[in-house]
Amino acid sequence: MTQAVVVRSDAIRASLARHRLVLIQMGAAFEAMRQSMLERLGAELVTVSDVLSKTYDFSKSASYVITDIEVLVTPTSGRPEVTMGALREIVIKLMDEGKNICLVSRAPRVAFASIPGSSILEDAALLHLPLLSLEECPNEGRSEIGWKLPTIGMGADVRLEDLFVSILKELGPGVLSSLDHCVFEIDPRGAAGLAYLSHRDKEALRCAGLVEVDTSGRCSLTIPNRLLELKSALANVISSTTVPARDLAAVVNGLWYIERTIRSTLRSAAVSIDGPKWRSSIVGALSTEVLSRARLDSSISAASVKELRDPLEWLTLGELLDIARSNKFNGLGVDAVIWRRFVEQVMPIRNRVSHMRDLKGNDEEIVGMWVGLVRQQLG
Amino acid sequence: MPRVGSSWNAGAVKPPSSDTLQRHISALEADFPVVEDHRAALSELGSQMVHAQRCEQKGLHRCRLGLVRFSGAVEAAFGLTREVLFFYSPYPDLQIREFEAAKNAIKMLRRAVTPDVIFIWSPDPRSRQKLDDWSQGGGLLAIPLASIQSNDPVALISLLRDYIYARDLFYESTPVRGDRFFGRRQILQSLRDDVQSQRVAGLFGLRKAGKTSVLSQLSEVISSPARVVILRDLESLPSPPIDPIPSLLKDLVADIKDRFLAQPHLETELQQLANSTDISDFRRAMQSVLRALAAREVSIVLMLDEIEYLTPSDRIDIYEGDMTSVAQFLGALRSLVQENPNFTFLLSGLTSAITEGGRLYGRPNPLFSWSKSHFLTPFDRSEADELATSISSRMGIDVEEGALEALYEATGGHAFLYRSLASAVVQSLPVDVFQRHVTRADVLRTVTQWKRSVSGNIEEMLNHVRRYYPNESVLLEVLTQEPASFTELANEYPAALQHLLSLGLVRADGHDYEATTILSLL
Repeated sequence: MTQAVVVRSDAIRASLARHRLVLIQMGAAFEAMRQSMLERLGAELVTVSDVLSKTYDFSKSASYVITDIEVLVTPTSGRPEVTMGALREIVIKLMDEGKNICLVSRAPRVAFASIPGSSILEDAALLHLPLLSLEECPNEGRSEIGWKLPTIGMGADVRLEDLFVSILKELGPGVLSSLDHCVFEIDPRGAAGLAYLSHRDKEALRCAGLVEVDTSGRCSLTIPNRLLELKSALANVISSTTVPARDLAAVVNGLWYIERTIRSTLRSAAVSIDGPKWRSSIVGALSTEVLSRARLDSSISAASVKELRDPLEWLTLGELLDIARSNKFNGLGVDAVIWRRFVEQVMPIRNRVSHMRDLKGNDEEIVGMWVGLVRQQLG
Repeated sequence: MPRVGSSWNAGAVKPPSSDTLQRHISALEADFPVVEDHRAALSELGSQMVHAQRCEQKGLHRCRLGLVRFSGAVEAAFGLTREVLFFYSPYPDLQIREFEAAKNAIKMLRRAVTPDVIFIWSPDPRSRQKLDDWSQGGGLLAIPLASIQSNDPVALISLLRDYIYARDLFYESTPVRGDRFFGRRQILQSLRDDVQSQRVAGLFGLRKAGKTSVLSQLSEVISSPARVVILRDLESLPSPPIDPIPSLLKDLVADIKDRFLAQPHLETELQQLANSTDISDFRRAMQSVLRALAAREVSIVLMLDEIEYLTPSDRIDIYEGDMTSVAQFLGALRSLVQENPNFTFLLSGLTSAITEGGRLYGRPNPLFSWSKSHFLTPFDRSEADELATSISSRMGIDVEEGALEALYEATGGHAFLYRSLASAVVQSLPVDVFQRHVTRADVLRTVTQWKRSVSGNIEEMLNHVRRYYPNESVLLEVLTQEPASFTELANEYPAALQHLLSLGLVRADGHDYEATTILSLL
């Protein structure tokens, strides 16, 4: 039993004694010490599947470590018993009986789907496991690049970039997208972009062992001179992601609803103002371009925009908004300030979806918010 | 470390003079000679054993217990205000049933006994480890007497200090009630009035504002043999677009059966309830149950918490979407209230949309203009101060006025944030002293790191506002990023503005508005 395991398991026990409900994000970076650390807690180890089976006997111990929480990242459709809400119900009941609970997940909090009400992940105190110090790292591990990461420092035969890949795969598409934005878009030559991480993304990367946060809140890479390996691993993981993100359907549905509602409202307004001439009137100077787009796609025989069912369907969202915000249509009754925010927030998401790029962590929330607002204002 | 006798025996308790008490103490000492040493040490601390008896639990009559009144100085230092239980077990293998017996003894004794601290003596060499393990949950601190030299008063004080100072009574991860619940007098009274008047109400507020705690406390306060409260959390239900109502009906039937199982006169009605297969059956069966209960002047109050699980507006159009069963279910509850004077219900959750929208899932909303909405705002200053001083005194900590002000300024009185910061401050205090104080400087020193630790929680709180209050969320963004545009815009959305004010995210400042502390924490 190494000192590193002892120190960290003592910290977990202390946190459990104080907080009674603790969450630990323990992924690939800590694999080398995971089992020995958990076993040293003196608590009963149980998987989340066993807990949710509702047949487990919880009378054996005063403390429980519930592992594999990451299986709840994606809700299981049609199986309400396999939900974070069901887990919370059981955990709160156990705590009311005097038990202490430690939740262990390979995935960060931000990777889990948002749930309607209270969340056990928000109720829990997050415990961050520190990386290896020089004194804790075995001598033979100190010469390895990335020795601070326990899996490398404690002797696992793994290349740093491969470990980076394993770590990144546990974080979820939202965090990967944020990290991508930081290291490839904001500052492609350095890591200054890390300053733009959201709090939850920072938390996810810190607990994964990829970044450190100093006392002033400044975020830096754990292994700063290996940024190229990290970027290479990130690029590999993102490019090999072909399974749609869990929230993609909700985002696409939301964008669909938003754009079609704006279009429908604008159409109604145009009809009421211009009557039968609304088709040519509404697109104005864009008539030729709109006709060209329509012909390329399907309306091969149309001779003018008047013959198109709905010229608005051939406008980009930006063009649609320009018309809606014009003096003629007075923003469709929505304040200019709100349209400004809409453009700032929704357009980038629409572009990401159009180009089949990964969604960012809060894209679903943003689209959901605008669906609600558009429904109330225009629906 | 202060010498015994210099201060610890200030406010000394008079030695026992009653013959009866002396006899009981002698009997205790006869069975447990170590008690004589304990009493000697206590006496040096100005403290006395004021009660002694045999344990009344079946099978544990060889155990004995005593009650100790500590000196005024000791009580003040450690936040004790009542007698403390000393439990003596003769068994070399301490069992959890003795621990439970000690807990029960506190309830059974008809005296004012400290409910959350007990001393336990046992010859078991592992008693400390066992008691530490058993003490971890449930709010009872069991202090192992055998871990110190029995006649050493300084060791006794240090033991008390080590255990009491290690507690963190501020931090709560589950809903609170009873002596862990503070403030909220006004909202509790309003909700009590609503229940009394059979007026259906909703309680809404930000995440971790304390809604479930208010419901739990209300349940505790209003429950009686004549008023049965059923608090049902909806979080394990599937959410629309999956229909949650069949699962909810099953849960409610099980809840009602559980509560009235021991009442044979309800057997037929409960069976009818158990056989109900849809909302109409449920309503009819509940009608029968309520009428049978009315004959015995018993009422039911149903509390539905986490109401978003029925109305997740981020997943479905709750005004016109296809989920009529939810509207139908609420309609059934409404008709039960209207037809039975002994039934009412409360809702609780993040968003008030379920009571404010004219339509619900394509039907007229049965709760619209019929139920009353309450919003749970942050603590006011006096409530927050009461929480801080009351809890810290139980940890032997004195909180200065400047610290109370700083705690409130930094958190805006939000229940979770306030407790979280107070907890962080207390953790930073030294433990090897005998007088602990919290000053304004202590709070300010802790705030920066604490802000970072809760920033993710606040981000998540605001994400929830975004999901369920879209207009309000945009207004908030305008307030923080284009404040000059806010007032004019807010005047066009008065309902949204009112929500922001009610949720405690915005406050009025003359004719203008400003963001409250919560937003500044990001």
